[in-house]
Amino acid sequence: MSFRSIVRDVRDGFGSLSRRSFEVRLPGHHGRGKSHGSVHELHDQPVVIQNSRWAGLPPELLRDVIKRLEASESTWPARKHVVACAAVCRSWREMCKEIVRNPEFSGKITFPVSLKQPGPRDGTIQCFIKRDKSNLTYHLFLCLSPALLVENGKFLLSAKRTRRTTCTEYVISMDADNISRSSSTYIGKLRSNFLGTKFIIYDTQPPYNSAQLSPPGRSRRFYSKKVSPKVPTGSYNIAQVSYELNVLGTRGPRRMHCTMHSIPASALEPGGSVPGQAELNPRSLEDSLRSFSKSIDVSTEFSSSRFSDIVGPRDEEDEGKDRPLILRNKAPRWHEQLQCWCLNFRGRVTVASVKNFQLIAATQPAAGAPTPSQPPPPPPSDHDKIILQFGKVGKDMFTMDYRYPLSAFQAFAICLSSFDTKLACE
Amino acid sequence: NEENIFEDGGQQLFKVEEQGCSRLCSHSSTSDGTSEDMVVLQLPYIIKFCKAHGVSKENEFGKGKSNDELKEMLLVADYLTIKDTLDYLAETLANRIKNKSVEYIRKFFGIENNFMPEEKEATRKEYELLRLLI
Repeated sequence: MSFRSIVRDVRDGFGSLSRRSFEVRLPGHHGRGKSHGSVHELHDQPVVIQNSRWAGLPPELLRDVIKRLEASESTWPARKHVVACAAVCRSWREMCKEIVRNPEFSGKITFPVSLKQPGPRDGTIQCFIKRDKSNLTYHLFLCLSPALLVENGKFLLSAKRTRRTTCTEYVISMDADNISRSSSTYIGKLRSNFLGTKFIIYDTQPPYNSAQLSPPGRSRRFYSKKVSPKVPTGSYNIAQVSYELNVLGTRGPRRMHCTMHSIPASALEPGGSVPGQAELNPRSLEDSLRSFSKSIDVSTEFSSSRFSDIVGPRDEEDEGKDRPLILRNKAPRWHEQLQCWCLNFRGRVTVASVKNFQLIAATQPAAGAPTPSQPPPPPPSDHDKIILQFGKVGKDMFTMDYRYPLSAFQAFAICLSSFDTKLACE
Repeated sequence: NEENIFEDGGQQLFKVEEQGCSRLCSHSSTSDGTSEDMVVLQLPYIIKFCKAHGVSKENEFGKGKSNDELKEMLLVADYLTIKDTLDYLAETLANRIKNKSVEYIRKFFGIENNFMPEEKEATRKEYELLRLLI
C-alpha cells in the first residue's frame, strides 16, 4: 500500500492544503544539492496503513499513543480512559492488555478483572468499606485520598447480607446497586455456619486447582454438572475462614485462620506466583467471571468431618508443592499501662474494635525436625508482611489494605466474615 | 554513523533516521509542485514549525491543528522517522483522545467495532461499571 492511494482519499476529504516546493539538502552519503521530483526506487516497504480509510494508525504508533495515555492516567477517575481504549476494538484491546500491567506489578486497579488478581508485591492497595445497616449492604471503595474519613473513593465491590435458617450469606457483586446472584455482575459469595465461626468463600471462577479442591473420597455428586435453577453461576470453594477463642477464652482476642485453597503456599516463596489468574478478554461478562455450574449441598458443608477433610493433610502429591496458603491474624500485644490489646495499624485504623485484624502468613514447620544444634531457618522475609489489614475508623467506616497474594475480592470477603462472627472479646 | 540532518535554507531543522532519508529523497517535490504525495502536503508545516520554534513540548504547535491534520503529520513524521516531532505529536494525540468516550475514539480513528456481539456487550458493561464513583 503506498501513500498515493491514501493521499487520494485525503484529498477527497479536504483539498485546502496548499502545496509548496522546497529544497532539500541532506549531507552525508546522499550528497548535497537539490533533490528533484523523480521517484527513486524504495528499498524498504512504506508504512502500512489500514485499508478502509487512512485514518487508522500503524500498530507501533498506536502503541506509543496508548502507552502515553496509560502512563498519564494512573489514578481514578482518569483511569477509566484506559478502559475506554480497551473497548474500542480487538487490536486496541490486545494493545491495552500488553501495556496495562496487573495490580501485582503496577499497584493499580484498572479493569474489573483487576479485582480478582493479586495485589501489589510492593506496598498495599488502600481501600475503605462503608457499611449500611439499614440495607444490610457493604460497599468497597478504592481510596482516592489519604484522609481516613473523607469519603472519596472509586467504587470496587458491593455485598449484601442475607440471613438464612442455617447460615448467613453475603452476595458479592461488581455493581453498587444491583447486588444479586442472578446478575451478570455477581462474582462470588461468603457463607457462614450457624455459629458464625466458620466461613467459606465461593468464587464464580474456578481457581487453578479446581480439580483438587474436593478432598479424596468425596461423593460423585460434588462433580455434578447439574445446574441448580436457583444458582445459575458457578460456585467454587476458594477459601475458608475460621474464628476461635484463644487460650484465654473471651478475655483475649480471637484467633483467625484463612485457608486459601486457590493460592499455594509457594506463592510467598522467592520466585513464587499465584497460578491460574483471570484473563482480560471476556466472551461475555459472565463467562469471564464464572465457570460451569456445580450444585452445592449446604447441609454437608459444615459437618466437622467435611471441614477436616479440607483443612487437614492432603494427598502425598499435594504436600509441599500445592499445599494452600494459610493466613493467621497477628497476635496483639497486651499493653499493661493502657490495659488493652494493641496492634500497630500505622494510622490506618483509629477505633478499637474486636473486628480489627492483621493477617500474616502462618509459617509451616520445617519438613524434618531440626537437629538440636541447628536452629530452624527463619522464614523468608515475605512471611513477615501484613497481607491484609482491616479496621474501624468511624461509625460505619472501615479501612481495608491488602497486598499480594490476595485479590481485592478475596480480601473483601475475608473482611466481611469479620463483621459477622459472633465471637466477642471482653 | 553520519547523522542525516534535514536542512532548509541553511538552517538545520531535524534529524532523520536512515530509513527516512531515502523516503524523503524519493518524495521531494518539483518546483511546479505536481507530486501527489502526502509528505509534500505536510512537510512544509513541519519545516515551518521547526524553523520558527524548534521541536519542544512547551510550544503549542499542535494546538491549532485539526485532528486530521494532526494525524497526517504524525504519519509523515513516523514515515520519515523524525523522532522528536513524532514524540511531540504522539503526546498531543494522546491528550486529544484522553477524556473522550469510546465512540469518539472510534470515530476519530475511523475504527470499526470488531468485537463479537457478546464481547461487545461485555466490554460495554465493563466500561459502564468502571464509571461508578462515589
